[in-house]
Amino acid sequence: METNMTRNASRAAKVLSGVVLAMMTTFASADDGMAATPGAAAAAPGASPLAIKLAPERAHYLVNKWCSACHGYYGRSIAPTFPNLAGQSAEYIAQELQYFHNLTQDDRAITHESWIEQWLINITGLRSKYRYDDAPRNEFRAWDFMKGVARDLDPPTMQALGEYFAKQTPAPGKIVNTGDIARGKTLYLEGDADKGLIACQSCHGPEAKGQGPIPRLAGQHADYVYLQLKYIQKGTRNVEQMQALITNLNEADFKALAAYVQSLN
Amino acid sequence: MTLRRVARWLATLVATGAAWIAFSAPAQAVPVFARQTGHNCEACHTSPPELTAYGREFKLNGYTFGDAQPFPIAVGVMASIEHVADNVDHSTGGKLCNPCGEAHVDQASIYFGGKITDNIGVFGQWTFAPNGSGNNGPVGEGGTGPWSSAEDNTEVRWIHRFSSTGSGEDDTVIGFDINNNLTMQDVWATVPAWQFPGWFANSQTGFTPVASPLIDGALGQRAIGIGGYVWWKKQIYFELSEYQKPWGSFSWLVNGSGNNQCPGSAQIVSGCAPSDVLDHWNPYFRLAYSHDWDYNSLMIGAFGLYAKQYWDAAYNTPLGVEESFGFHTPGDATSSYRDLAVDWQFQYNRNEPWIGTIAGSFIHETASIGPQFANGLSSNPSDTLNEFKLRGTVYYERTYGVSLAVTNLTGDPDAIRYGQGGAGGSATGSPSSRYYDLELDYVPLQNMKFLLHYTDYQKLNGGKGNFDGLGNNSTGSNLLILGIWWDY
Repeated sequence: METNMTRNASRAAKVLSGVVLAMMTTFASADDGMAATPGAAAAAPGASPLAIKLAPERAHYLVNKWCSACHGYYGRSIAPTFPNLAGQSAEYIAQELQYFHNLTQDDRAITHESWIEQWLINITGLRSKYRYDDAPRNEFRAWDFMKGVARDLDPPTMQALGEYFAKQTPAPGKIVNTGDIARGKTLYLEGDADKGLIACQSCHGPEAKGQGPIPRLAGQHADYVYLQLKYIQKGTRNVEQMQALITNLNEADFKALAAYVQSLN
Repeated sequence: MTLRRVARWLATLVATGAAWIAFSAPAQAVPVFARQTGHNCEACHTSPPELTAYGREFKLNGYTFGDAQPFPIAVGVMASIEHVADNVDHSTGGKLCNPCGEAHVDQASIYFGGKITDNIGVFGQWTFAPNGSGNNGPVGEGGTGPWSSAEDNTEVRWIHRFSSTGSGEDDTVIGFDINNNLTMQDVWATVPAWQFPGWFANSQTGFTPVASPLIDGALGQRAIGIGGYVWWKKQIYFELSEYQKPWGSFSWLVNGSGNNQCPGSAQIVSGCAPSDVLDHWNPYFRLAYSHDWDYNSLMIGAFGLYAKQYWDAAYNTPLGVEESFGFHTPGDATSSYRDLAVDWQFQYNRNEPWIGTIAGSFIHETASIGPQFANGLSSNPSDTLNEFKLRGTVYYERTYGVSLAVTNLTGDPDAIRYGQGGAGGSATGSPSSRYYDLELDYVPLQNMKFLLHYTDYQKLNGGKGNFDGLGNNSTGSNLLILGIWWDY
């Protein structure tokens, strides 16, 4: 027969397990609805049906809470530091998030440090901040911002984030005077045989709307596009297909292309 | 502090740091918020503590981006060597600043907090610092002896985001904030809590200005603020708070400062500053308009405080409040301080390779100090004081920085309040001071800064040569600091 004591004990155990469960739930809910075990989800392309079902809601929550702080409401950003995401290809966004997610410390170069910096790194064991020109596989924003954001995202959420931004109204085209738009148009639509550049439109589309893994460029901040071209040319942003094509382009070409694509709606 | 002591301190800190490295993989080499968000320092700071546009969002969203950390602790230390141009108090022949010229730690902090839940976040700081200022040498050598530690800037935020248009896209944040330092809850580096040249907490100086508006530091860890704010479409920030003496369940916010142990009127002479006896209702407001375009952020704003302080004629001092909630007894006289300010900040943050900031503020204070006047502690029944600050900062590749700032104080002469009848006071009673700060920064690692800071006192407490009437010159207190600031 169950005694009062054992009943009380089992009740206490139930209460205790309830409290523990509640705490676990609290902590779980404190992770922004991201995967609790980063990496595990990434390694499993067949994510759980529940994760896939909840992903759009999680994505919208993240957009409201975090993405919009830099990329603006609806993914239309103000500072050219942060690309416009509205209307961007869903697949491209998911692919880039996965790329940020996979970055490791070893992807960050430590080069061109002064002797003082080398010495400090040696005695403290701390990584230096990278220099913008030196990061081997991506530009500095990936390190400043996006590595942390994508750190614990799972693939269904990445896909859902892409789909959220893909269906937003893109930022309208804007005329900027930082580059020769006419020259940019020629380069974009026809390429430049002398410089080994095939027409950009052959991949990004005649209206620069992109598709699949190829990003939309229309309406994108000119300075952002200009900097990406520079990084890709240097190899600090690793897009091999493009690097080969733009090897011979110069600063003026980059600025012209950037100004042209921002002028497009 | 001797070099050996510094070495011991640094060894302890390095050992502690090593423990954290072991604990916190894959952490970035930066403190608690960076570990939480995975960001680099540069995401939120132009040059700490100044915030970028994103840093402002992070703070106004209650530090809730990212993942709550299981071990949300970070450490920071500031150490320096100072040199005072003429380290002699000419009224006595003694030293102005001791131990100027020796390496010492100015302060060491433990940071705690960050995200607690999706809607609650904490910024906390517990600081170890030398006792007092001016002479922090060992007791046996005439110093004030051991260090003390106390709660430093600390706040708790609760936030909620919603869509003001009903579109489903959250464009507005409302927040509730409890803090222990007036203006620390602000996100622009133009308010007293975050204004240059106060970024580096150097503990050694010569003479400094005797006048300062109440809102500029006097209430730090001496009053508890409770308030709410709204941040609308990243354009309008409006906040209403009220400050009061640390009481009851909020006294933990000033732990270690001694300010939570000053309620008895008999004790007020020893250790309780006038601000401890604030009335229970001292409103503070803040309104700011922010506009971002391209790489630029502009803010134009205003803030103000109306603070009342009760006096007890029996003690001829500010009233010590025996009543637990800071109520006065009938018949007590009141002094009041009305501080109104305008401020502005412009940031350029393209970052490849330059960033820059121009920031400034103008504070006008009207002090109605009838009780002080009646009791012979002031020459006037009311004084006005103006404080103007302007700063420019540029950084190249976030590594090499230059800041230049000017501070100008003017106001009604008050021989009793500002004269102090002694060395470093104003011979004429004028509170006027003007000084320039030039700082060169070298940031080799994102969490380590070396700085060379020079302060040039063109005018101090009403004059330049023999400003106190006792033989001291303002430029004698010109101060050179070689400092290091390291956070982990």
